[in-house]
Amino acid sequence: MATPTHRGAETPSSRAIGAALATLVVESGVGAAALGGTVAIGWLVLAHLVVCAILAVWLRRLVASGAEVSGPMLLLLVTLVAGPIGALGSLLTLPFLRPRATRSELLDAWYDRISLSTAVDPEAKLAESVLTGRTLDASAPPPARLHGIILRGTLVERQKALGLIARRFDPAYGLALQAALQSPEPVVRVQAAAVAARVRGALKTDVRVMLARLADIEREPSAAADAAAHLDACVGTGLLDAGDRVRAEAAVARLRAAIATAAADAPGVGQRIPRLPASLAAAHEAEQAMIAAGRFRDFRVARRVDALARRGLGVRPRRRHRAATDATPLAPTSAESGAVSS
Amino acid sequence: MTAMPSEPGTGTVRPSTELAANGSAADEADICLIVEGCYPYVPGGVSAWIDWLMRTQPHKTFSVVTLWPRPTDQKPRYELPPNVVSFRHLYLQDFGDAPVNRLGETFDTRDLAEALGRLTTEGGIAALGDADRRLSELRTRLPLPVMFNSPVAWDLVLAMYGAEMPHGSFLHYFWAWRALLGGLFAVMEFPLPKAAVYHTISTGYAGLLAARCGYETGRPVLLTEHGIYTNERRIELLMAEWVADTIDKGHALDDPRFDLRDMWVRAFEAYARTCYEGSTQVVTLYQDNQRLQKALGAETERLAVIANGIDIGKYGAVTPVPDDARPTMALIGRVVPIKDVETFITAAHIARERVPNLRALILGPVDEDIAYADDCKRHVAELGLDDVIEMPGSVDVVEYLSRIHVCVLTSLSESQPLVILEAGAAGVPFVATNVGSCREIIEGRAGEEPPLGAGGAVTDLVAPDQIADAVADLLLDPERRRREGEALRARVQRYYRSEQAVAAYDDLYGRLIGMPTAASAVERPATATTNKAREIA
Repeated sequence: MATPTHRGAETPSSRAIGAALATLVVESGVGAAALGGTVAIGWLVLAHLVVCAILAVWLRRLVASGAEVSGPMLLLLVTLVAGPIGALGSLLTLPFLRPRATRSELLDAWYDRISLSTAVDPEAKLAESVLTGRTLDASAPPPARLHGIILRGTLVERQKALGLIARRFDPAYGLALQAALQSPEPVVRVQAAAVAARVRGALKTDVRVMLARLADIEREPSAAADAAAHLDACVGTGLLDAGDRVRAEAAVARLRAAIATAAADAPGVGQRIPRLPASLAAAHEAEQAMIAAGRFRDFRVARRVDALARRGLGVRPRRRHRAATDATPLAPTSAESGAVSS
Repeated sequence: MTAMPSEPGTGTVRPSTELAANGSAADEADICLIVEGCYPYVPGGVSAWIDWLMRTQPHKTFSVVTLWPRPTDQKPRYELPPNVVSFRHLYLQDFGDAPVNRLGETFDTRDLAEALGRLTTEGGIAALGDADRRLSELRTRLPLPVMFNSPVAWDLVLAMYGAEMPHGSFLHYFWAWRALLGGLFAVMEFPLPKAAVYHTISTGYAGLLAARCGYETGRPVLLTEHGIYTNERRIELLMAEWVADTIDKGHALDDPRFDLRDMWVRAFEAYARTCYEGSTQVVTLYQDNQRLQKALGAETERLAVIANGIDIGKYGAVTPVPDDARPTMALIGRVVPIKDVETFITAAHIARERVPNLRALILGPVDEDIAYADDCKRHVAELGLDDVIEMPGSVDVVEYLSRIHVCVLTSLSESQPLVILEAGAAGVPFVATNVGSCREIIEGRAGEEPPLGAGGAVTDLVAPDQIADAVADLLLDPERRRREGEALRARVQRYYRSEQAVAAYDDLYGRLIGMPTAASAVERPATATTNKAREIA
C-alpha cells in the first residue's frame, strides 16, 4: 500500500495566485510610475520593500497556522529578487505547483485499518458489533433442527443449511448430511456431496488424532466419556472410511468398557463420577446444586455420562423419557442433538 | 465427424505454448464465444466441448473471449482451430489504473450507485442498460480504470454501502465491493468483438458480457449451459471461508440481516437473470437443468436441449474385454476433488472382498490438483490397494476401453458426462452417481419407447458401499454385464450421436446469424483513455 499522505490544512493555490496578482499589479504600477518619472526611485524601492514585507508577514502567519507555504514562499523570494517580473513568474508557475505531501499518523492508521492489515482489539470489535447490531439476535425464535430443514425446507433453506454444515461442521450434523445426500432434489444432493467431500478429510484427521491418544484418554473417565460420545458421533456421520469406522467403533467399545470398569471395580473411582438422579426434576435440581456450588467439572462430567447413557453407551440404562430434546434444561447440546440453536 | 473428447488423452487436447488466431481483434467473426475459467487452459469438460464445437463448424469463423480472474501462467491445453479469427483475454480482478493525484473531477454518484445497485441486486436488461448509460456518462469525463481508484469510486462505495448494508462491517464491504464491482467494470469496459452472434457458455460474468454484447450491438445472444453456473457459485459461496460473516447469525437460517455472503449470491443471481433475459436462445444438455434455469428467470419459450454426442464409429470398434481377463473397473477422469476419486478407491477396497484379483484403473491427469492426487495415493497405500489400483495418468481411452469390464463415475457434480457415452458406445456398462443426466443416460428417459433397459447402475453420492456392490454384481455376472453394456450402447446410438449435436448447432447458428440486428442497439460514446485522464489531471 502506498504511503498515505495528505495535503496541507488549506489549499494555497487560489490565495497564492491572488496574492501574486496583487503583487504584480502593485509592483508593475509603481515601476511604471518610476519609469515615467512621476515617482522617485527611492519611493520605488520603498514600495518594493513594503510589498515584500507584507508578503513576509503573510508567509509567517501561514507557517504559524501549519498551512502549505510553498506557493507563498516562491512568490516572496522571486518578487524580492526580481520585482514585478518575479511576481509575473509566480503567477504563471503557481497553478502548476503541487502541494508538498505531508504524512499523517491518523491517515496512516486509517489506511492500515481499511487494508485489514492490523489486528483489531477483540473488545473493541465486540463493542462495535454490539453498537451496530451485528451480534446474535437474542430475541429471535430458536432455529429449527437441521435435519428437519433438510427434509422439509425450501430449496433456499436447504442450501443455506448445507452451507452452515460445511462452515461449522460437527459430527452430530451427520444425520442431516446423510438425508441431504439422499434428497430427491439433485441440487441438494450435489451440494451435500460437496459438503461431505469437504468435511471428510477433517473428520478423518479428527478421529485419527483421537485414536492415537486413546490410551491417555481412557485413564480419565470424564475424558473417556467425551471421547466415546464424539467418536460415536463421527461413526454416525457415515463419512468415515471402512477402516477408520471399524477402528472408531472398537475405540468406543474400549472406552465404554473402561468407564464401566472404573465405575464397577473401583468404588473410589466410581464415586468420583458424578451421577444425575433418574427423574427429570431431580436431575435438574442436582445440576442447579452443582452450578451453585461451583462444581462445574462435575456438572460437565455428569452431563456427558448422562448423554452416553442415553446413547446406550454409558454405565447405566436410560433412566427417563423426554417429550422433546429441545429447549429443556437437561437437553443435550445443539451439537449432540443435531439441532441448531443460538 | 469429430467427436467431443471427454478428457485429455483423447481427441484434440494437446499442450501448446502459443495461441495464434488467424486474424486480428478487429476482424468480425460469425460467432463470438465467451467463456469463463476454462478454455483453453483447463483440459476436459467444457473446454473439450468448445474445441469440438469450433472444429465441427469449419465453415463458420469464431472469435474467443476467455475470462480469468487475472493473468495466468497456465499453458494453453488446446491449439486454436484455423477458423478462429481472434482470441482475447478479459481479466476480472485486474481492473483499475494507478491513482491520479488532483484529478480535479467531481461527479454526482447517486444515480450511478442506484443503477449499479439495481444491476447487482435485481439484474435484467433494463438494469444493464441503465448502468451502461450511467457509466457512459462518467466515461466521457473519466476513464473507468482511473475512476476505480479515485475519490469518485470512494463516493460510489459509500453510496452503495449506505443503500445496501449500512448495518454491516464497512471494511469488509469495501473489499467485497472492490472485488464485485471490479469484475463488473472490467466487463462493462471491455471492447466488444464484432460478431454476428454472441455465444456464452455460462451465465456469471461471461453471461453478463454476452448480455452487454446483445444490448449494445443488437445481435442475438446464445447461451449454452452445461452445469448451472449460478447454482455452482451459490454452493461455493455458501461454503466459502474467504467470505467474511460480518454479522453473527448463529445457526439461524432465516435471519433477515443482509451480509456479504448474501451480496455475492444475489449478484450472481442478478447476472444470471440479465443473461437469460438477454439471450435469444438458452440451450442446455438435458431437460432437468431447465427447471433451475426457469427458477432463475429464464423464459420457457427460449429454452432448448441439445445433448452432447460422440463418434459412434470410433468407440463402436472397441473390442470387448474377454470374460476371463482380470476383472477390471475403471474411473476415467481428472483426479480432482469434484470427481470424488477417494470414494472410487474406497469402493475398490470394498469390492475386492467380493471380486478376487480385482483391478481398478484411474485414467486421467493427476497434475491439476497435485495435493488431492497425493491424498488419493496415500489413501490407496493406507487401504493396502497397491496391487489393485493403477494410476497411469492420461491415456488413450479408446485403447483402454478394450481392457475394462465396468466403468465407474463417482463425481459429485456433472452435467452430461461424455465418458458415459464413450463407454456406452463401446458396450461397457456403467456405474455412476446420481448427478446431472447420468440416470437419464444409464436408465433411459421416462417413456423411452421401446425401452432399452438399464445400461448399468446409478448410486447415491459418496456411497462407496453401493458403488462396490453394483460393480461387483456386474463383474461377477458376465451375462448381465453384456446385456447392460448392449443396452447402453443402443441408447447412445439412438440419442447421443455427434452428428445430431453438430447438425443442431449448425441449424441454430444459421438461424441466429440470419436474424436482423435489433433496433435497440445502442451507440456507445467513445471511451476516454487513461492518457486523457492524465491530461485532465
